[in-house]
Amino acid sequence: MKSASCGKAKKGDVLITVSSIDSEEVVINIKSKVKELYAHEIEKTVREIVSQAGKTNLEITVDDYGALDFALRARLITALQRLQEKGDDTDVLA
Amino acid sequence: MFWRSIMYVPGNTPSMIQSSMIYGADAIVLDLEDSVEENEKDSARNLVSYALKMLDFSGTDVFVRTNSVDSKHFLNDLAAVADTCIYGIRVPKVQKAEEIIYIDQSIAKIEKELGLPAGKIKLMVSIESALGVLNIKEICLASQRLIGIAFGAEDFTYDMSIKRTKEGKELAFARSVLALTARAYGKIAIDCVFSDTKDPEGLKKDCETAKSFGMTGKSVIHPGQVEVVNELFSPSVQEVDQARRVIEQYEKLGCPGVFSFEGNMVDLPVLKKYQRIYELYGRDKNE
Repeated sequence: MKSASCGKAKKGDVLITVSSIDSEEVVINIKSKVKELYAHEIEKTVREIVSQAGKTNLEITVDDYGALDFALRARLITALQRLQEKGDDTDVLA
Repeated sequence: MFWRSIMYVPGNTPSMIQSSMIYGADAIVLDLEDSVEENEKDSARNLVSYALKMLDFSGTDVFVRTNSVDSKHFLNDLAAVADTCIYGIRVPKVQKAEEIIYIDQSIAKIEKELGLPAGKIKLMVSIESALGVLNIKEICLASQRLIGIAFGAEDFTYDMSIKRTKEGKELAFARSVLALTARAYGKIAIDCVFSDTKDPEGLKKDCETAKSFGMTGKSVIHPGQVEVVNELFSPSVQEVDQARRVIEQYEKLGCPGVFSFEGNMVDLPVLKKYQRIYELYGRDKNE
Protein backbone atom coordinates (compact mmCIF):
# COMPACT_ATOMS: atom_id res chain seq x y z
CA MET A 1 0.00 0.00 0.00
CA LYS A 2 1.47 3.34 -1.07
CA SER A 3 1.02 6.41 1.02
CA ALA A 4 2.14 10.03 1.12
CA SER A 5 1.61 12.92 3.47
CA CYS A 6 1.84 16.70 3.65
CA GLY A 7 1.50 19.35 6.34
CA LYS A 8 2.55 19.60 9.94
CA ALA A 9 1.04 18.92 13.34
CA LYS A 10 1.17 22.61 14.20
CA LYS A 11 -1.40 25.27 15.00
CA GLY A 12 -3.06 26.58 11.87
CA ASP A 13 -1.85 23.66 9.79
CA VAL A 14 -3.18 20.24 8.89
CA LEU A 15 -1.35 16.95 8.44
CA ILE A 16 -2.84 14.92 5.65
CA THR A 17 -1.97 11.32 4.84
CA VAL A 18 -3.28 9.66 1.71
CA SER A 19 -2.98 5.93 1.11
CA SER A 20 -4.03 3.85 -1.85
CA ILE A 21 -6.42 1.03 -0.92
CA ASP A 22 -7.97 -1.88 -2.81
CA SER A 23 -11.54 -0.82 -2.21
CA GLU A 24 -13.08 1.43 -4.90
CA GLU A 25 -14.09 4.13 -2.50
CA VAL A 26 -12.71 7.13 -0.67
CA VAL A 27 -12.45 6.62 3.07
CA ILE A 28 -11.99 9.81 5.05
CA ASN A 29 -10.86 9.95 8.69
CA ILE A 30 -10.94 13.32 10.42
CA LYS A 31 -9.20 14.21 13.66
CA SER A 32 -9.78 17.73 14.90
CA LYS A 33 -10.51 19.63 18.10
CA VAL A 34 -13.28 21.34 16.20
CA LYS A 35 -14.53 18.16 14.56
CA GLU A 36 -18.10 18.66 15.72
CA LEU A 37 -18.24 22.08 14.11
CA TYR A 38 -16.22 21.59 10.95
CA ALA A 39 -15.99 17.89 10.10
CA HIS A 40 -18.73 18.24 7.52
CA GLU A 41 -17.00 21.16 5.78
CA ILE A 42 -13.63 19.42 5.87
CA GLU A 43 -15.07 16.24 4.37
CA LYS A 44 -16.92 18.22 1.70
CA THR A 45 -13.68 19.97 0.65
CA VAL A 46 -11.71 16.72 0.65
CA ARG A 47 -14.31 14.96 -1.50
CA GLU A 48 -14.44 17.92 -3.90
CA ILE A 49 -10.69 17.85 -4.47
CA VAL A 50 -10.50 14.08 -4.75
CA SER A 51 -13.38 14.15 -7.22
CA GLN A 52 -11.65 16.82 -9.32
CA ALA A 53 -8.60 14.55 -9.41
CA GLY A 54 -10.85 11.70 -10.58
CA LYS A 55 -9.55 9.51 -7.81
CA THR A 56 -10.99 6.62 -5.83
CA ASN A 57 -9.27 3.78 -3.97
CA LEU A 58 -8.04 6.13 -1.28
CA GLU A 59 -7.94 6.35 2.46
CA ILE A 60 -7.39 9.94 3.59
CA THR A 61 -6.55 10.92 7.14
CA VAL A 62 -7.00 14.59 8.01
CA ASP A 63 -5.27 15.56 11.25
CA ASP A 64 -6.46 19.13 11.65
CA TYR A 65 -4.89 21.78 13.87
CA GLY A 66 -7.22 24.63 12.96
CA ALA A 67 -6.24 25.02 9.32
CA LEU A 68 -8.15 27.40 7.10
CA ASP A 69 -9.60 26.22 3.83
CA PHE A 70 -6.65 27.37 1.71
CA ALA A 71 -4.25 25.29 3.79
CA LEU A 72 -6.47 22.20 3.74
CA ARG A 73 -6.75 22.34 -0.04
CA ALA A 74 -3.04 22.98 -0.60
CA ARG A 75 -1.93 20.21 1.75
CA LEU A 76 -4.31 17.68 0.23
CA ILE A 77 -3.30 18.53 -3.33
CA THR A 78 0.36 18.18 -2.39
CA ALA A 79 -0.22 14.85 -0.65
CA LEU A 80 -2.05 13.55 -3.74
CA GLN A 81 0.76 14.79 -6.01
CA ARG A 82 3.31 13.06 -3.79
CA LEU A 83 1.32 9.84 -3.93
CA GLN A 84 1.23 10.14 -7.69
CA GLU A 85 5.00 10.52 -7.79
CA LYS A 86 5.25 7.24 -5.94
CA GLY A 87 3.59 5.43 -8.79
CA ASP A 88 -0.07 6.27 -8.62
CA ASP A 89 -1.11 7.15 -12.18
CA THR A 90 -3.75 9.75 -11.39
CA ASP A 91 -3.16 13.20 -12.86
CA VAL A 92 -3.50 15.65 -9.98
CA LEU A 93 -3.98 19.25 -11.00
CA ALA A 94 -2.99 21.99 -8.58
CA MET B 1 4.55 52.38 -5.87
CA PHE B 2 6.52 53.12 -2.76
CA TRP B 3 7.44 50.56 -0.18
CA ARG B 4 9.15 51.48 3.06
CA SER B 5 8.89 48.02 4.62
CA ILE B 6 8.81 44.75 2.72
CA MET B 7 8.22 41.84 5.07
CA TYR B 8 9.34 38.28 4.40
CA VAL B 9 6.81 35.59 5.27
CA PRO B 10 7.82 31.90 5.28
CA GLY B 11 5.92 30.21 2.47
CA ASN B 12 5.24 26.92 4.19
CA THR B 13 3.64 28.16 7.40
CA PRO B 14 -0.12 28.72 7.05
CA SER B 15 -0.51 30.62 10.33
CA MET B 16 2.08 33.21 9.30
CA ILE B 17 0.71 33.59 5.79
CA GLN B 18 -2.88 34.12 6.91
CA SER B 19 -1.92 36.91 9.33
CA SER B 20 0.80 38.50 7.22
CA MET B 21 -1.35 41.33 5.91
CA ILE B 22 -2.26 42.81 9.31
CA TYR B 23 1.09 44.17 10.49
CA GLY B 24 1.24 47.32 8.38
CA ALA B 25 4.04 46.33 6.04
CA ASP B 26 3.80 48.21 2.75
CA ALA B 27 4.50 44.95 0.93
CA ILE B 28 5.01 41.34 1.85
CA VAL B 29 7.14 38.67 0.24
CA LEU B 30 5.80 35.13 0.50
CA ASP B 31 8.99 33.13 0.48
CA LEU B 32 9.54 29.93 -1.45
CA GLU B 33 13.32 30.08 -1.18
CA ASP B 34 15.54 30.10 1.88
CA SER B 35 12.85 29.60 4.52
CA VAL B 36 11.60 26.43 2.82
CA GLU B 37 13.43 23.11 3.07
CA GLU B 38 14.29 21.43 -0.20
CA ASN B 39 11.88 18.54 0.37
CA GLU B 40 9.02 20.95 1.11
CA LYS B 41 9.28 23.12 -2.01
CA ASP B 42 6.22 21.49 -3.59
CA SER B 43 4.21 21.93 -0.43
CA ALA B 44 5.09 25.61 -0.01
CA ARG B 45 4.41 26.34 -3.66
CA ASN B 46 0.88 24.94 -3.42
CA LEU B 47 0.25 26.64 -0.09
CA VAL B 48 1.30 30.06 -1.38
CA SER B 49 -0.69 29.57 -4.56
CA TYR B 50 -3.87 28.72 -2.67
CA ALA B 51 -3.31 31.53 -0.17
CA LEU B 52 -3.02 34.06 -2.98
CA LYS B 53 -6.22 32.78 -4.56
CA MET B 54 -8.30 32.47 -1.39
CA LEU B 55 -7.11 35.04 1.18
CA ASP B 56 -7.73 38.78 1.09
CA PHE B 57 -4.44 40.63 0.74
CA SER B 58 -5.99 43.99 -0.13
CA GLY B 59 -4.12 46.83 1.52
CA THR B 60 -0.68 45.38 0.97
CA ASP B 61 1.27 44.58 -2.18
CA VAL B 62 2.32 40.97 -2.46
CA PHE B 63 5.46 39.56 -3.98
CA VAL B 64 6.52 35.94 -4.09
CA ARG B 65 10.18 35.14 -3.68
CA THR B 66 10.82 32.31 -6.10
CA ASN B 67 13.81 30.08 -6.02
CA SER B 68 16.77 31.28 -8.07
CA VAL B 69 16.83 30.90 -11.85
CA ASP B 70 19.51 28.24 -11.70
CA SER B 71 17.35 26.03 -9.47
CA LYS B 72 14.98 23.38 -10.80
CA HIS B 73 12.13 25.16 -9.02
CA PHE B 74 12.06 28.58 -10.68
CA LEU B 75 9.64 27.90 -13.53
CA ASN B 76 7.31 25.84 -11.33
CA ASP B 77 7.29 28.64 -8.75
CA LEU B 78 6.44 31.19 -11.40
CA ALA B 79 3.69 29.05 -12.90
CA ALA B 80 2.08 28.48 -9.50
CA VAL B 81 1.63 32.17 -8.70
CA ALA B 82 1.38 33.96 -12.06
CA ASP B 83 -2.42 33.96 -12.23
CA THR B 84 -3.00 35.36 -8.75
CA CYS B 85 -3.14 38.74 -7.03
CA ILE B 86 0.64 39.18 -6.88
CA TYR B 87 2.21 42.53 -7.68
CA GLY B 88 5.31 40.74 -8.82
CA ILE B 89 7.97 38.18 -8.11
CA ARG B 90 11.22 38.68 -6.31
CA VAL B 91 14.04 36.57 -7.66
CA PRO B 92 17.05 35.97 -5.41
CA LYS B 93 20.76 35.70 -6.10
CA VAL B 94 20.76 37.42 -9.47
CA GLN B 95 24.24 38.06 -10.82
CA LYS B 96 24.01 38.86 -14.52
CA ALA B 97 21.85 40.68 -17.04
CA GLU B 98 21.36 37.40 -18.93
CA GLU B 99 19.40 36.07 -15.96
CA ILE B 100 17.11 39.10 -16.03
CA ILE B 101 16.45 38.57 -19.72
CA TYR B 102 15.62 34.90 -19.07
CA ILE B 103 13.29 35.82 -16.19
CA ASP B 104 11.61 38.53 -18.24
CA GLN B 105 11.05 36.16 -21.16
CA SER B 106 9.73 33.45 -18.83
CA ILE B 107 7.22 35.85 -17.30
CA ALA B 108 6.21 37.22 -20.70
CA LYS B 109 5.57 33.68 -21.95
CA ILE B 110 3.36 32.78 -19.03
CA GLU B 111 1.50 36.12 -19.20
CA LYS B 112 0.69 35.34 -22.83
CA GLU B 113 -0.39 31.77 -22.05
CA LEU B 114 -2.69 32.98 -19.28
CA GLY B 115 -4.08 35.90 -21.27
CA LEU B 116 -2.71 38.43 -18.80
CA PRO B 117 -1.76 41.95 -19.92
CA ALA B 118 1.89 42.11 -20.98
CA GLY B 119 3.99 43.51 -18.17
CA LYS B 120 1.39 42.86 -15.45
CA ILE B 121 3.76 40.82 -13.32
CA LYS B 122 6.51 43.08 -12.03
CA LEU B 123 10.00 42.01 -11.15
CA MET B 124 12.23 42.75 -8.22
CA VAL B 125 15.58 41.02 -7.79
CA SER B 126 18.04 40.56 -4.98
CA ILE B 127 21.74 41.16 -5.37
CA GLU B 128 23.62 38.89 -3.01
CA SER B 129 27.12 38.44 -4.45
CA ALA B 130 30.19 40.39 -5.47
CA LEU B 131 29.52 39.68 -9.14
CA GLY B 132 25.93 40.84 -8.74
CA VAL B 133 27.08 44.15 -7.27
CA LEU B 134 29.51 44.70 -10.12
CA ASN B 135 26.77 44.01 -12.68
CA ILE B 136 23.99 46.12 -11.19
CA LYS B 137 24.00 48.64 -14.04
CA GLU B 138 23.57 45.92 -16.70
CA ILE B 139 20.94 44.25 -14.53
CA CYS B 140 18.98 47.50 -14.25
CA LEU B 141 19.10 48.01 -18.01
CA ALA B 142 18.09 44.46 -18.93
CA SER B 143 14.31 44.72 -18.50
CA GLN B 144 11.57 47.33 -18.30
CA ARG B 145 9.73 44.91 -16.06
CA LEU B 146 12.36 45.32 -13.36
CA ILE B 147 11.12 47.83 -10.81
CA GLY B 148 13.51 47.35 -7.94
CA ILE B 149 16.78 46.00 -6.64
CA ALA B 150 17.12 44.56 -3.16
CA PHE B 151 20.28 43.78 -1.29
CA GLY B 152 20.91 40.45 0.45
CA ALA B 153 23.64 40.91 3.04
CA GLU B 154 23.93 37.40 4.45
CA ASP B 155 24.77 35.76 1.14
CA PHE B 156 26.87 38.75 0.12
CA THR B 157 29.11 38.50 3.18
CA TYR B 158 29.35 34.75 2.66
CA ASP B 159 30.38 35.30 -0.95
CA MET B 160 32.96 37.86 0.15
CA SER B 161 34.22 35.69 3.02
CA ILE B 162 33.74 38.55 5.43
CA LYS B 163 31.99 38.79 8.77
CA ARG B 164 28.73 40.67 8.97
CA THR B 165 28.58 43.15 11.83
CA LYS B 166 25.70 45.15 13.29
CA GLU B 167 27.42 48.38 12.29
CA GLY B 168 27.59 47.16 8.71
CA LYS B 169 30.73 48.99 7.62
CA GLU B 170 31.66 45.98 5.50
CA LEU B 171 28.46 46.51 3.49
CA ALA B 172 28.89 50.23 2.86
CA PHE B 173 30.31 50.06 -0.65
CA ALA B 174 27.81 47.48 -1.91
CA ARG B 175 24.81 49.25 -0.41
CA SER B 176 25.98 52.58 -1.75
CA VAL B 177 26.57 51.25 -5.27
CA LEU B 178 23.24 49.44 -5.26
CA ALA B 179 21.26 52.49 -4.17
CA LEU B 180 23.17 54.81 -6.48
CA THR B 181 22.73 52.61 -9.53
CA ALA B 182 19.11 51.79 -8.81
CA ARG B 183 18.29 55.48 -8.46
CA ALA B 184 20.23 56.30 -11.63
CA TYR B 185 18.03 53.96 -13.62
CA GLY B 186 14.72 54.75 -11.95
CA LYS B 187 14.47 51.62 -9.81
CA ILE B 188 13.64 51.42 -6.15
CA ALA B 189 16.43 50.31 -3.80
CA ILE B 190 15.54 47.98 -0.94
CA ASP B 191 18.00 47.48 1.87
CA CYS B 192 18.94 44.17 3.48
CA VAL B 193 17.26 42.75 6.58
CA PHE B 194 18.49 43.58 10.05
CA SER B 195 18.75 40.13 11.58
CA ASP B 196 18.50 40.91 15.30
CA THR B 197 14.75 41.10 15.87
CA LYS B 198 15.22 42.10 19.51
CA ASP B 199 17.32 45.20 18.91
CA PRO B 200 15.05 48.08 17.81
CA GLU B 201 17.77 50.65 18.48
CA GLY B 202 20.17 48.75 16.23
CA LEU B 203 17.43 48.56 13.61
CA LYS B 204 16.89 52.32 13.80
CA LYS B 205 20.57 52.99 13.25
CA ASP B 206 20.66 50.52 10.39
CA CYS B 207 17.66 52.24 8.75
CA GLU B 208 19.34 55.63 9.11
CA THR B 209 22.49 54.27 7.50
CA ALA B 210 20.49 52.69 4.66
CA LYS B 211 18.55 55.90 4.11
CA SER B 212 21.78 57.91 3.98
CA PHE B 213 22.96 55.67 1.15
CA GLY B 214 19.77 56.38 -0.78
CA MET B 215 17.85 53.18 -0.09
CA THR B 216 14.10 53.70 -0.51
CA GLY B 217 12.98 50.98 1.89
CA LYS B 218 14.05 47.92 3.80
CA SER B 219 13.28 44.23 3.94
CA VAL B 220 12.15 43.00 7.36
CA ILE B 221 11.97 39.50 8.81
CA HIS B 222 9.65 40.06 11.75
CA PRO B 223 6.35 41.94 12.21
CA GLY B 224 7.91 43.78 15.16
CA GLN B 225 10.32 45.52 12.78
CA VAL B 226 7.64 47.00 10.51
CA GLU B 227 6.71 50.04 12.58
CA VAL B 228 10.32 51.14 13.09
CA VAL B 229 11.15 50.79 9.40
CA ASN B 230 7.99 52.59 8.27
CA GLU B 231 8.72 55.45 10.64
CA LEU B 232 12.37 55.76 9.69
CA PHE B 233 11.68 55.67 5.96
CA SER B 234 8.89 58.25 6.21
CA PRO B 235 9.48 61.99 6.41
CA SER B 236 8.45 63.68 9.65
CA VAL B 237 5.25 65.70 9.94
CA GLN B 238 7.40 68.85 9.95
CA GLU B 239 9.14 67.80 6.73
CA VAL B 240 5.82 67.15 5.00
CA ASP B 241 4.46 70.47 6.19
CA GLN B 242 7.57 72.28 4.99
CA ALA B 243 7.25 70.58 1.60
CA ARG B 244 3.65 71.78 1.33
CA ARG B 245 4.59 75.34 2.22
CA VAL B 246 7.53 75.40 -0.24
CA ILE B 247 5.28 74.20 -3.06
CA GLU B 248 2.61 76.77 -2.18
CA GLN B 249 5.23 79.53 -2.23
CA TYR B 250 6.58 78.26 -5.56
CA GLU B 251 3.12 78.39 -7.14
CA LYS B 252 2.30 81.76 -5.56
CA LEU B 253 5.45 83.25 -7.11
CA GLY B 254 4.50 81.96 -10.58
CA CYS B 255 6.78 78.92 -10.65
CA PRO B 256 10.17 80.66 -10.84
CA GLY B 257 13.42 78.78 -11.58
CA VAL B 258 14.91 79.90 -8.28
CA PHE B 259 13.34 81.48 -5.24
CA SER B 260 13.96 82.07 -1.57
CA PHE B 261 12.02 80.28 1.16
CA GLU B 262 12.57 81.26 4.78
CA GLY B 263 16.08 82.42 3.96
CA ASN B 264 17.10 79.36 1.94
CA MET B 265 17.53 79.15 -1.82
CA VAL B 266 15.19 76.71 -3.55
CA ASP B 267 16.17 75.73 -7.07
CA LEU B 268 14.85 72.91 -9.23
CA PRO B 269 16.65 69.94 -7.55
CA VAL B 270 15.61 71.17 -4.09
CA LEU B 271 12.05 71.77 -5.27
CA LYS B 272 11.88 68.24 -6.70
CA LYS B 273 12.79 66.77 -3.32
CA TYR B 274 9.95 68.68 -1.68
CA GLN B 275 7.56 67.70 -4.46
CA ARG B 276 8.46 64.04 -4.02
CA ILE B 277 7.83 64.19 -0.27
CA TYR B 278 4.51 65.94 -0.81
CA GLU B 279 3.42 63.55 -3.56
CA LEU B 280 4.19 60.52 -1.40
CA TYR B 281 2.92 61.70 1.96
CA GLY B 282 1.21 65.09 1.78
CA ARG B 283 -1.73 64.28 -0.44
CA ASP B 284 -2.93 61.28 1.58
CA LYS B 285 -2.86 63.31 4.77
CA ASN B 286 -4.88 66.13 3.25
CA GLU B 287 -7.52 63.92 1.65
